[in-house]
Amino acid sequence: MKTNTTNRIVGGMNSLLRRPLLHFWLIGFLIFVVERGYFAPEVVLEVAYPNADQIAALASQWQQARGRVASAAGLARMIQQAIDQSILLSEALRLGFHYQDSIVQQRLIRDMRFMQDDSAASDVELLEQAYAMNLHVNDLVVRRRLVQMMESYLRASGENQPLTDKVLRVLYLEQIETFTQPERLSFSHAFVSQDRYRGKSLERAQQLVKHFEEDELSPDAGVSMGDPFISGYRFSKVTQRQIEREFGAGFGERVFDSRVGQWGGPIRSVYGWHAVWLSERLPAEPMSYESVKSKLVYEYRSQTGNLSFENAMAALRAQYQITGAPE
Amino acid sequence: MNWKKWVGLAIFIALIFGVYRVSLLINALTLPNSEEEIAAVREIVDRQNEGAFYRPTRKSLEAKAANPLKNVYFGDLHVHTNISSDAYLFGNRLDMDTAYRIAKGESQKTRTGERMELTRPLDFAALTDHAEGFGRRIACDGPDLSEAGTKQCEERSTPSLIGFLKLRSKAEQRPMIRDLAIFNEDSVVERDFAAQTWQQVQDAADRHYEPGAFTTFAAYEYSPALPDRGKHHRNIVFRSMDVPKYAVSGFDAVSEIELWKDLEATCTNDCEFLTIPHNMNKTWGLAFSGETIDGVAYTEDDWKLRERNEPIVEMFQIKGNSECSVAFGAGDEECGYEQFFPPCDQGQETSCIYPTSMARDGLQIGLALEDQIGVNPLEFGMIGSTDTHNSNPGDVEEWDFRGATTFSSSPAERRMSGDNVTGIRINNPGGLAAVWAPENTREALFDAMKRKEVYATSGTRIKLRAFAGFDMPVDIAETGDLTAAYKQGVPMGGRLYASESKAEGVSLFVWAVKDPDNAPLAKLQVVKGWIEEGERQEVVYDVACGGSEFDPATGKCEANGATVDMNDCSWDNTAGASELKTLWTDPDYRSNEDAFYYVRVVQNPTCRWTTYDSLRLGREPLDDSPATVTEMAWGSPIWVKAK
Repeated sequence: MKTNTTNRIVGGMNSLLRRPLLHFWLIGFLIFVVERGYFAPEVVLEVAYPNADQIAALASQWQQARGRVASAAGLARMIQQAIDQSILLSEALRLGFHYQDSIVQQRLIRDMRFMQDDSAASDVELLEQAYAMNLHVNDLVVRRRLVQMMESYLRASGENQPLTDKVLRVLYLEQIETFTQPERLSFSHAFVSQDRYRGKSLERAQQLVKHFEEDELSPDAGVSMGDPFISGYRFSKVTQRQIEREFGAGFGERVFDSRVGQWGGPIRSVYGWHAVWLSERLPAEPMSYESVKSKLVYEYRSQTGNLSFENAMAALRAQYQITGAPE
Repeated sequence: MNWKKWVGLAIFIALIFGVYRVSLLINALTLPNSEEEIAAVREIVDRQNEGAFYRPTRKSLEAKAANPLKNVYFGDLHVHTNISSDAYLFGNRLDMDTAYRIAKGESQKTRTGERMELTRPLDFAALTDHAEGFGRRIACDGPDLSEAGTKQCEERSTPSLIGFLKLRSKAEQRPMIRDLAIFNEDSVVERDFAAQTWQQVQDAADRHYEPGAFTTFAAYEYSPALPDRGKHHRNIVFRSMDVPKYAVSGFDAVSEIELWKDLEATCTNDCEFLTIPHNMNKTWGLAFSGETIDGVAYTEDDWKLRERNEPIVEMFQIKGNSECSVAFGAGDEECGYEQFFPPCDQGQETSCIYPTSMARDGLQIGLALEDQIGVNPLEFGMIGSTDTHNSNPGDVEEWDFRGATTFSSSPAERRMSGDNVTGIRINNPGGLAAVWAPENTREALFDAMKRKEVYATSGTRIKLRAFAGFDMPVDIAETGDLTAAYKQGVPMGGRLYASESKAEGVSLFVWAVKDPDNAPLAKLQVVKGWIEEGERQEVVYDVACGGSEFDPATGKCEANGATVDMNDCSWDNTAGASELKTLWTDPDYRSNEDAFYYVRVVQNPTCRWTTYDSLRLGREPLDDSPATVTEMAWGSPIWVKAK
């Protein structure tokens, strides 16, 4: 039984080996391996160094934008940017972005219709013709679009991981010194208008302060004895600079010199005199994580995007040969 | 000497004078371009004495705590950066980020080397570059320009007044011609690049938005031009970053009516916008005439479009005051403040003021229109801004004015040139928009603009509250009770209905407080307008006097004797008032007439920018400009509807 089965397998194999179709596939595979392995030219990635006219145009653009002649270093940066753009375009084409982007395709169809305005060809046919004519390489707008797409692609290449709270909190702690809330205080004031009391406004303010102290008046009771003040009577958690923007120079410093829980002053502002009651003093402290979170997200996205782009660009530069560069 | 010699001498003198005039003109029209020319200008700037006058200490950007009774926030809603083609032609290369940093208090220099810095940062700003120029710089900076495009880019990159005048003259053609040379004659390319610039505008606004401390808006300017440097422009401001993909420009919309229609069609879902016209003084009467730029009469639907979309006007800016003209109406002298043009003579069409040009005219025309179409399409609030082309928002202090057009108006030597060939000395540093809002966020400020709880200033930061009511508490001027003011009245920008009250008199509670970094107040005025038997009527009342007595014989405040020390421009803090507060009742109120009331505050005199420039240069102030100004604030009107 065993011998019969073996004989059948051997016979089948012999029959298979004699089949022309198998011969065809085997020969094809052999040719493919030989060609790819030994004779295929190595893929060379290269872009051209800008020629003299292009460099002159870059220098002119620089001068127009900055109002001065480009330095050697400035011009070198512009040339590198031009080379980078050529690399980005080349990569975009290698990745087939021109086959994927609807804006590019619409543009190519438009170009074709312009060239063949009486053509009855469909959009798909026109697009095929455009690719065949290499229009996607020659059209300025398409080239710019492809460079832009490639930049976005490289920028986003580092965002493989979702941005977590943990990452942001680390960033927050790293930068905590820059997120500091200055010393603040809360105060109430009773205002004595210099317009209302003229030369007697200081005297009136001194009387008020004395009265408030002697009768141990509460902040609310004291405030009600003052004149109306357009910006209000109670200021909560304000910095010295915030106070000075409302009351004029010098006022904030005097308020900060006052003591918590008692009436002080009178203090002079540009509007008159003020009896001041400090209700709390908050030392300088780090700003809360929540209050700066959106700023951190923006900074992170901006920095990682730039970093990803720079790393990917550096890797691409290493892969490309620049032809025609000066010795 | 015989007569021939006399004639010869006369011809010689005329020739010398002619050569002098031509040289002045050439000098004015030539702007520095090369490194050497710019360096020469900077040397001149280095010789300016910036310490020759008093200026207050600078302050940093600070947030204000939210306030249900509202804080006042000061900002600038009209600023041009290097994106605007005209600003670029004037030589401005400061970008949007720099502009926002200046608004937040950073010090920067113009390309001539003059320093620009605000004493106090702004609370908000909108950069409003010309939409017609969107995409052009991106195209010019790119490779593969056509020959024609390259030529145009070069022309538009070389600082030149002649270039500016050519650009201006092209922009005056009707309908506006969309020049596509830079875009290789491809309108799709133009659209794509313009959208990119519009996106950059939004990105910059987002980068600098600090809710609570500093607010930015997505905004731009729609800019159809009129002959003789006239304009019929509007700024468009959006409530959020939910905006249309394309900025509707003068190429897209032939008139303001098309602009509103296009915006209504494209600004949908959460998108909200408002338009703000400016320089009504330079519309050659079009501002409130009820006609488009092409002479097409507004239909009732057009007026309603305007009513829906245009709640405020920019009444004061660098290119003059558009409140009123001394030649029309009450003829109050304050209408002459920083006025650009005289009234039109018989047959004169441009460079003059029509009775349909100014904001006060518009307010009166609005009352008449309401009788005809049932809504008042000109029920607008008023703001100030700058229209600077130097990327310096809110840089409105007289001592810091560096012109508004980079090389064309800087340095001081140029601004103060002998016979003012470029006409720069008619300009002023521009104004500010003041907004009463509960907090400093896009939404809160935009909503305040929509409800018109805003006012204009000529640059000073006077605080101004105004409420009108039929039953205002009689002691409100003593108590300053704002809760009662909101409850028993309406704030500036509001409407009051006589039919809702049994009282027979309307009262205004007005409270103005001086800018802590500027001079005291001289007087408080109420301007009232109404229509009587089809005729426009107006009257101006002095309602509170700062440091002086009211003269019943003239109905005016007497002069308070305030002085300015012309040696260093320090002002007098002893005359005038630090605040003016009153409850004023209209003595001539008639409950069967619609009327509007708005408040004007006049500050004591301070040096005009030309005087600061004189001190910088160590010269006497020139006779062709006033040595001092009385800065002002103008509240948005309150409308009182008849029974």
